[in-house]
Parts: sequence; C-alpha cells; structure tokens
Amino acid sequence: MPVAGLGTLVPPGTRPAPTTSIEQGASPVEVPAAVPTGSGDGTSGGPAPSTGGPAVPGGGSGGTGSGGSSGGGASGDGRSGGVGRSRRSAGRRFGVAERWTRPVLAVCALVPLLALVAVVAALLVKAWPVIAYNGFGFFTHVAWRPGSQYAQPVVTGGVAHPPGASFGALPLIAGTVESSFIALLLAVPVAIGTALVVVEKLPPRLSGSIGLCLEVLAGVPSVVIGLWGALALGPFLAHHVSPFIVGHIPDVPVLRFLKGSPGYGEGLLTSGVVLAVMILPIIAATTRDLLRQVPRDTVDGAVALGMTDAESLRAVTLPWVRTGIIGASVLGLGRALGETMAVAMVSGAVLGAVPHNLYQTMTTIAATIVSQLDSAFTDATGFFLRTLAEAGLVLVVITLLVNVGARMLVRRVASTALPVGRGI
Amino acid sequence: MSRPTADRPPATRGYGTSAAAVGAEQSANSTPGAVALALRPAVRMTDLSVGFGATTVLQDVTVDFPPNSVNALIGPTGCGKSTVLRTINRMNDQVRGYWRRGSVRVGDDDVEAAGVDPLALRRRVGMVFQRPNPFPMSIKDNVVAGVRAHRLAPRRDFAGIAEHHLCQVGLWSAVAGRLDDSPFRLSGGQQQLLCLARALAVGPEVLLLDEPTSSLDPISTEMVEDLLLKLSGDLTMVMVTHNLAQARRVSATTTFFYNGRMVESGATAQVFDSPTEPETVSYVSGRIG
Repeated sequence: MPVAGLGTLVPPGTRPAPTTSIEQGASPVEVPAAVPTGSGDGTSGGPAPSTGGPAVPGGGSGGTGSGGSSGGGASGDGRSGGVGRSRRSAGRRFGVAERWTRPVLAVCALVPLLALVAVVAALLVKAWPVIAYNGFGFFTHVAWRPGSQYAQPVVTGGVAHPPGASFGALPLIAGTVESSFIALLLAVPVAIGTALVVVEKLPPRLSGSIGLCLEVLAGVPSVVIGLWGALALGPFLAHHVSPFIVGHIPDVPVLRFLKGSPGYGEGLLTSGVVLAVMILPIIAATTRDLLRQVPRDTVDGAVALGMTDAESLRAVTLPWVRTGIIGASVLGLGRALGETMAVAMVSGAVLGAVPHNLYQTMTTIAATIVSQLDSAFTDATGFFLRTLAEAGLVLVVITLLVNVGARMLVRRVASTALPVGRGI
Repeated sequence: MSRPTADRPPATRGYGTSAAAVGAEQSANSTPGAVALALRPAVRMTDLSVGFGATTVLQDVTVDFPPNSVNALIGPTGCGKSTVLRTINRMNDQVRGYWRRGSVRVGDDDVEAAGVDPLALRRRVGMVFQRPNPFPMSIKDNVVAGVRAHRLAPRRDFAGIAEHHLCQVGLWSAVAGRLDDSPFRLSGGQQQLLCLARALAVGPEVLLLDEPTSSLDPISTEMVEDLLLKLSGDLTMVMVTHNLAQARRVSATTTFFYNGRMVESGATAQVFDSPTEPETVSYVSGRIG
C-alpha cells in the first residue's frame, strides 16, 4: 500500500486535550503534600536553634563548613524530623569551629607558598657568594675540580675556597636535559598507546588489572628501579640493544649521536630508559583519565560517519585530549628532571665530560648533588657546598622553565574553546 | 503497515551530479550491490529481534520505510527506538553482547550480509545525534571529515564541498567568514546544522536522526525541521522523536514502538488521527509514555 500521507501536515499546536487534563490531575496530589511541610517549617523551626545550639561543637568541630552543616542536619533529623534544618545550620554559622575555619584555611593556603619560598630562599642565600665567583662559566665549563682540600684556603673576590677549585656544570645540565628528553621520547608514545588500549579496546576487567599495574609501577621506589637498571637493564642494553642500534644507523651528522662504543650498560641510554619506565605510569594514568572524558557522542559521530578506528582516533579522540597530554608529559618531565637515585645508579656518575653519544657515561644535576654531598661537607671553606646549592637552583630554574613553556604551549594549542586540529 | 512504492525513480543527489553518476563512479571500486542500492533507497526490517546479552530490546519488528520521506519513530523512552536506528547503520556492532535475528535491508542488501563493509554502509546511511557533536577541528574540516575519510573527493575540492553543504543546511552566511574557527563557538542550533552538513557531505541514501532537535531552542528546531522537509524530496530519513507535534509537522510515516515491539506503523495522519491499536491511541493522546 503506497503512502499517501506525505502532504498531510498537521498544523502545530493541535495537541490532544487529554494531556493537559492529566497534568492538572497530577498537580492536586502534590500541592496538599507541600503545604503542611511549609507550615511545619514555620512552627517547629522557631525554637529549634535554641536546642540545636549546644549540640553544635560535637557535630561540627572536626570538619569544615560543609561538613559541619550536614552534621547539624543529621542531628536535626533525629529530634524534630528535619523540618527546621536550614534555620538550624544558619544559626550555627557563628559557632566556635566556624570562628577558626577562616584562619586555619588561610594558613593551609599559605603553606605551599611558604614552602616554595623557604626552599628557594635557602638555596639562594647559601649559593649567593659563589654565584658571582663561578660566574657564567658555571654554565659553559666542563671541569669539576673541588680543589685541594688540605691546602690553605685562598680568598678570591671575598670568597674563600680551596686552591684550584673550579666548577663547571655544563655536563650536569646537559646530562639532565638529555636523559629527560630521551625518557620523554620513549615514554609518551608508549603511555598514549597504553591508555588507548586500556580505555578503548580492553574489556573492563583486563583494563582494570592493567590500571593496577600502572599504579603499582608508579609506586615502586626509584632505588628499586635503579637497581633493576644497574643489574639487568643496563647489561641487556649494552649487549643486545646498543650494538643493534649502532650497527643500523647511517653515519650522518645528526644521527651520529646514536653511534659509538656500546659501553657496559651505564650511561645516557640506560638512564633514559630507566627514567622512561618511571614516568610511563604517570603519563599513562593521566592520559587514561583524559580519554575517559572524551564524549561518547563525538566518537560515535566519527564511527557513524564511517571512519575507521585509526581515523576517529586522529580526527576526534587525540585532538580532544591533546592539551591534557601535554600537561601529563610535563608532569612526567618534571619527575624525570629531578629523579635522583635511579639515575645516580645507572648513569655512571661520571663528572667532567658532556656525553657525545648515546652510550657514554654521564651524570645529572640531581645525581651529582647526592653523590658529591659527602665530599662537599669536607670542604672547610663551604665553597663546594655553596656550589651544590647553586646547582640545585639551576635545577629549580630548569623545571620552572619547563612548566612555563608547557603552559605557553597549552595556551597556544587551546586558543579556542577546544583544540582545533587540521583533521585527518 | 505501509509498503514502499515500487520502482520509484531514483533521486538526484550528490555534488550536483545525479545518483546514477555517483553509482557508476562507485561501481568501479565497491560491491556491485552499491548500484542497486542507489536505485532502491529504502529501509526494510523483517522479523527483527535485537538484544544485548540476556536482554531483548526489540522483538519481531517488521516495518518498511518508504524512500524519500521523513519517517518518524515514536514511543516512550526505553522502547527501543534508538536501537532500531543503530541497527540500521550497525552502530550496535561495537556493543558487547549484541545479537540480532531477522533482517534489516537498506535497499536490497541485508546490512549484516557477508561482504558488507560497515564503514561503506555508514557512508550510505548517515546519522545525526541528539546533542550536536562537532569534531575538534575547524568548521570547514568538520563538514568534509567524512569526505576525507572515504576519499570521495580530492583535497582541492574540499572548500567547494564545504560551501555547498553549508549552503544546503542554511549555515553558510553565518560561518562564511570563519570557516577555520572552532565549531564550539557556534550556537547549539548552528552546531547541529553543522553536524547535518557533515552527514550530508558524504552523500548518504538514508539519514538516521536520533532526536535531532531535543537539545535545541524553538527557533533552531524550526530551522532543522524546515531543512528536513526540504531534504525529504530526495533523501530517506528515519527520525526518532519524543516531540509528537514535530512528528506530525515533519514526517510522512509514523511508527509507534512500545516495550520493544512495533505496535503500529502507517501514514502520519492516520497514526495520529485514527490509530487502530489501543496503545497507540493512549500514547498519541498522552495517556501513556
């Protein structure tokens, strides 16, 4: 039977009458129920504050404003059916606990600021005399000479130091940046892949157990991972991976960094891989949480348009979380820059040389500070210790710069309400 | 129960070319069925039962949607209307535990027959969602996202395609100066029109609309409804709606679902004005649902 109803459009607004009669039929049921509640609020709500007042400290002393008022509501429920709840909590607002809330919260808010200022100020005060003495050469010199600890200290420009002391932090800074960069390069793609598989592909039980693995990995102490790096990963890389890379990389200017003697497993590559393992769970867990927030409707839209998994990933999912992934990467990078123990164990902790291939031994600022601290305390002039403080300041500045850079990157990428990509 | 008119002449669709030309162009690199499908753009369901795991969502649904018209699906929430839509373009494939009995045909082809590529099927059967869901890319890239994915046109044609379909949905004048901007700055109604343009840009034969105006204001709703009426000359649409007045305004046929069963289907005027089933009488008069 052919359809003949194409032209029969009914004018709008001709809704059948029974709808309204049902709505009217429903409302009289609600109205009588609402009226006694309102009158009860007026009668029993009046005396409530006087009985509720003494009960306040017990219920509200432990919590902040919101916790206190909900506790008061619960006790009101028990006495007078909860009718005067709003009146009672309003009366409690000026109780003892409330008087202390603001100052306590103010102190809590200031603690992070004070901690930051205290750390930087202490480093700055300690390092101040040697910053001028070390000068700009601190960033360009390679040599790391504590000088003769047993000779008579000499004074140069008002700064006492052992004779022959000369510190250049270039190898430390280069090692810090290089190892962290390698870690980021290795960890970010793997982390994004892990997160994608966990969120998009795996059944809930399996993705839950992988999530658990990420959390456990994030919680493994860095000294344990460092031990693994020194005992197992380093030798493995030196015997199997490094020779392979060296053998298959063409000898062109930029890639020459990947050529050289594979070494014995301590150095830049091992440090980078160990750091990658340490920052992988941070980036993967954050990315996983981001991916779970991508609206299902938008991904469905891509699927409904006939896009493959890979196409919808590139067109929708990844652009949606791009700024978040940058943030997660910076979080990981911050960890990698400051990681001390694991790197100290696998870097070789060799001072005085900038690594010029992937397999050379090296050191980082953090690893140097921890490995040199003992020696520094033996310097009677304090010059060595002050230099380590300056190195610490440099590390703070590097992490600060990374964070500022990430913020600028995020702002540039997210200049509109949501990221605008170039599509597939 | 309505049957589609047999041997209705093919509609002209596509980028200013006829459907026959589009079909010929496609026969070179897709299944032979594509040509036949282009000639019979209609949707048929026969004894369709659908469920997820132990739950049966649709039971023994038999209904035909005639070509080149708006076909409304009405019924209370949870009665299986959206599942019907998602069965047509095989979006249920991704859902764990999905099963199906009976057949769904787009044109002459069972959508789940061996050899039917769901990606190619979804090019022929477009979908617009309840809430606007623009992609995180520029307005222009949104329109041509499907064209790009299916490689329907060379890159140099994208600007023209975007303009054509933005004009088609009546959005061109509003966005002409900011094609490279984010779509998330547009109003909800404009975003939904953009999603319509995106769905139309791949030249679908059937368009599925899942409550396309339920999140829009009245003015935007009117714009979308006008557009659907305009498109109904040469595009088969299946639209889920909770707005009975909208079903009366826009649709040629109306199908009423209740508790996973198809209760009544026919010309819209007949379903609303002289329904035969008691549940339909109750629903269209507002007593249930």
